[in-house]
Amino acid sequence: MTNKFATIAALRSAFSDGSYTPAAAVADALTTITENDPAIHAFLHTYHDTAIAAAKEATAAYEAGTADLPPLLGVPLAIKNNILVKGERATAGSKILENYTAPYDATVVARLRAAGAIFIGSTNLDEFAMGSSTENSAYGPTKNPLAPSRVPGGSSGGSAAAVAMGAAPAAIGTDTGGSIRQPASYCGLVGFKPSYGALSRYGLIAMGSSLDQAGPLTHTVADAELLHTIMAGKDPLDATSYDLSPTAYDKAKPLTIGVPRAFLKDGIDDDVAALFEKHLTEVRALGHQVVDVDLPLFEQGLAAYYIVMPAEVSSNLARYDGIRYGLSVPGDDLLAVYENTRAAGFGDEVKRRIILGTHVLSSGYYDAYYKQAERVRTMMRAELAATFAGVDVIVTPTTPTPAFTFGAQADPLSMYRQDIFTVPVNLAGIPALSFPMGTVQRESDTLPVGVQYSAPIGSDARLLAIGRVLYDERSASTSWTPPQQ
Amino acid sequence: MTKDDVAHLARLSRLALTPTELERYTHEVSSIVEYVSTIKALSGGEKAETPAVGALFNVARPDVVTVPGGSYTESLLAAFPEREGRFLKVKKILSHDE
Repeated sequence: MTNKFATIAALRSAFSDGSYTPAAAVADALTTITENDPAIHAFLHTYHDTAIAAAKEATAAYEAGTADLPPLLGVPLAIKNNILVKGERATAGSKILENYTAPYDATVVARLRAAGAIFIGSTNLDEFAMGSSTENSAYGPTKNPLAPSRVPGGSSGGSAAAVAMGAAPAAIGTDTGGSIRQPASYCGLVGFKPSYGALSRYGLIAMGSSLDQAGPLTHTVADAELLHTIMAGKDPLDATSYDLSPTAYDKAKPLTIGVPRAFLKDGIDDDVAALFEKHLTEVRALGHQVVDVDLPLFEQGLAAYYIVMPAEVSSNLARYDGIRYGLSVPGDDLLAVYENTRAAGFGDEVKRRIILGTHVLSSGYYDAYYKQAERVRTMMRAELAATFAGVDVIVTPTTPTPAFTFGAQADPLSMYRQDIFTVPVNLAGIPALSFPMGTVQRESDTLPVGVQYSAPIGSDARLLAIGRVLYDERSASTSWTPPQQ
Repeated sequence: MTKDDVAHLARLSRLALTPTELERYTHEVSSIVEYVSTIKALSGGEKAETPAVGALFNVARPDVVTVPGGSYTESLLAAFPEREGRFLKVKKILSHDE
């Protein structure tokens, strides 16, 4: 295998001191993809020519020694294929958008581009980001580069695999119910789901509009923070986006960390539970206080999520009708065009969620399901606000198990349970960070498992600063030597 | 849920289902609905009527054109499945026969 990238920070410093160039980095990234991706399938498309051209310009800028070069100049990034990159295919992992070309950049893409990032390709995902394994991609699953008989997680599985296999130092994903954090956990990476509204959703192919946020998958919390800071902030094109007030973390003060004990009793793999207890012991040894918290509504999160999310999915995906763009399958009349197009264009999981969402929104069921789920959500926010009055952060394992094998979660409900710890975070709109807490052994595979820290809404900067102290300063591997030219 | 219920929902969602899909979704969607029904038992929500999505309400911007006219016209037209010049071609929705 060719040289794997370490951190954005290491890459940037090698570019600045001339020991490595953006042109070499992009060439190495594309070689890594050519050599490894036939087996892994992290990418749906590579942006070969535009990436090489952009890298040439970036290399020239470093050589010219221009002052104040933008923070990501020449850094290769991979982008989940439900985020629009102007002029490139945006399929959302679905056959219905197989030939759809993005007419504009998503705001997060435009901001990364303005900061000098070079997009090397788009990554695979579960269709319309619906899934926890990438097995639902219409273009075939992605394999976990650390254990190819296992899934990389999902739905941002391609983004996680791209970073884990060394094709890019970081990738951008989206998270509606855990789709950044769960693949980060399975692939040994840092994954960050920002507060709802911290980032613009303009140019993200919508799944659950009250839940969706984009975010980074990286090797260190510092890199996640760098990308987040560049992408974040109010955008006139998304009325739900806003500028968060700054929040700081005083390293000298010990943290109070809440553990929802009752929530952790059932359904967690024994090795993951043991690793989590070990993590808590380490955190206590650093002087922090670990206390039990009671979050009964958090435990109802998964049930409420599987009402709110499909309701939003059924509404959002109504736009794919074969008329204005995307796949169009002929029929005898207009209704037949709609029905045939959607039957041929959508996969199993998408159809399942559209039917479920239509049910919970239909007359006679709306009050009992959708309205009740929104009430639970509001009560959950109140419960969280009360809990955060006593603790700085809440901690759980990111996932109840390590990466599973292909086909292991064939039943929809057992697949949904993979997200039990991550979905309440999206319902509440709070930020959450996953970083590796250790590994477990399954046969010959050594599998990473993540720990999830969540914090009050809007305190993204503080949570990332805490993550730097708890992960980067203790265990993140940042050493890297540029390959010989 | 019965097969008729799911067939009705599929019609509402503009999805043509095969008999096999109908059979499978009836089974699967029923078990998901049974699982999510646990939230019906939660009380206290009467006070929590207001849905709280995001931190902002009633965000507006000045009603002015922000991009030059025609900036996106060609890329949007190019995405049409059926096109005639600058027109989108669709199936007839009115008929003289009825």
